[in-house]
Amino acid sequence: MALYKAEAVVLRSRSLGEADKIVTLFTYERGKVEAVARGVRRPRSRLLGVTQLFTHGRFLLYERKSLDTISQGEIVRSFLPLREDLLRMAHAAYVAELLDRTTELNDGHPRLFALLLMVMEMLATGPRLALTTRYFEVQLMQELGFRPHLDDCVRCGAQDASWFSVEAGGLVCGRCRGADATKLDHESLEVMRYMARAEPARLGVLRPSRRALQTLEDVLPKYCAARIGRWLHSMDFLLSLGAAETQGVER
Amino acid sequence: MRHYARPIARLVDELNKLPGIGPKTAQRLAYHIVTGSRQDAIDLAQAIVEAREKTIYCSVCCTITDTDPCAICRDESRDRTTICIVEEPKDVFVIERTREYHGLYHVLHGAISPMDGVGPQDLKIKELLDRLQDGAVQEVILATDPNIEGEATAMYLARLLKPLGVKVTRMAHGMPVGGDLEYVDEVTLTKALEGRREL
Repeated sequence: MALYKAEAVVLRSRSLGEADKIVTLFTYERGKVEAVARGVRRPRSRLLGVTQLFTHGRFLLYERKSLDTISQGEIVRSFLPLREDLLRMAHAAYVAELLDRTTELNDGHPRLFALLLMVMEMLATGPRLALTTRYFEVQLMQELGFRPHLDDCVRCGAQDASWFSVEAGGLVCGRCRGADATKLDHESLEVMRYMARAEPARLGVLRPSRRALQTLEDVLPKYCAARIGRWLHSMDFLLSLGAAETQGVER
Repeated sequence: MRHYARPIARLVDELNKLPGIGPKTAQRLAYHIVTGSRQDAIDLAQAIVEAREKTIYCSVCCTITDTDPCAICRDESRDRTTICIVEEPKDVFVIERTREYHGLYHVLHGAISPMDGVGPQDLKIKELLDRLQDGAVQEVILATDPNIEGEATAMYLARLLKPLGVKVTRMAHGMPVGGDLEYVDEVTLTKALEGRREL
């Protein structure tokens, strides 16, 4: 039974027994880890705060044969605004669920950890939530080897590809497109290409129009869902808040 | 489970379906029941059947009750201008234990949890809106759990109810009584500082 330290973000938690929880952590050192937090549903538990969803913390864990156990933890960042704004929370829930569904246990991925932290920070404090979430989708798919093909037609290599096919995994031309393809205007395509290569700090220079953001929202969640084989619950919730989302391009 | 006698195996199986009861606990409970007094076993079985058969959801507040409307909704001495919203029927009991609240309740039967696919449509929100139609209710207290799901539910309801002209309040967050400041997390401390009161 070895002890190890991990810096992590809480992706998910579910109740276990009378007062325990199984917490899914995305750690810098080991990727996704599932661990039991004992007694954490009691109000005086020392682990109560650090095991709340989306919290960035430092943890001390016991390694066990099945599930590890959280021994201690301290909060690095609580991302409090994610709990106080429904829309921010809905975006963060989608990001956390997407990462949870696309990664395997104990598969270290420091770049994804850095991406997750940056995106959580932007969702907690930044102005453009939808753009941040689209950025996460593009970057996550890229890191996992599912980068959408954005150069020419996936099927025939034609340069005049301006449709996006979820099934084909990228751009298709008018001749190769199937019924599922969505027409991409020039702006949407350029925004998608920029997001695929930009560092998070450079995202601020993008000022996509409402129409381009809507096009990306039509395409990218479906692209991610197709790669992981299922539509995510939290996307449904996010879409149900859609009216508020489109009240201003800034959000 | 061939090593059990068939009736015990069945009992273990049924007990194992209960939340928080694993196979070992189920086995222990099953042997306790079959080795205890016959009358205790019959009482337990009858209590389970009676509780299941004679309880219904209150058509007003949606809590679990044996009469419709429930005792709290029928009680004329309760303050009918205030509704306290809780996630589960057991939360009604918890708040009643304080003896400090004299209004009515509304039980949502869950909380919004985007990642588990529980949305507003899965909660008793329509029933709540129906109760607010006649304008008699002046304040709605949101007493959902102080976790992400509870906060999301509270925020969603606040957004929904404020345009109706009802005062919407949230239960305060703070340090647990008898707790130790050293182990209170920063979120709770922040909330406790925000909600500090003059002595």
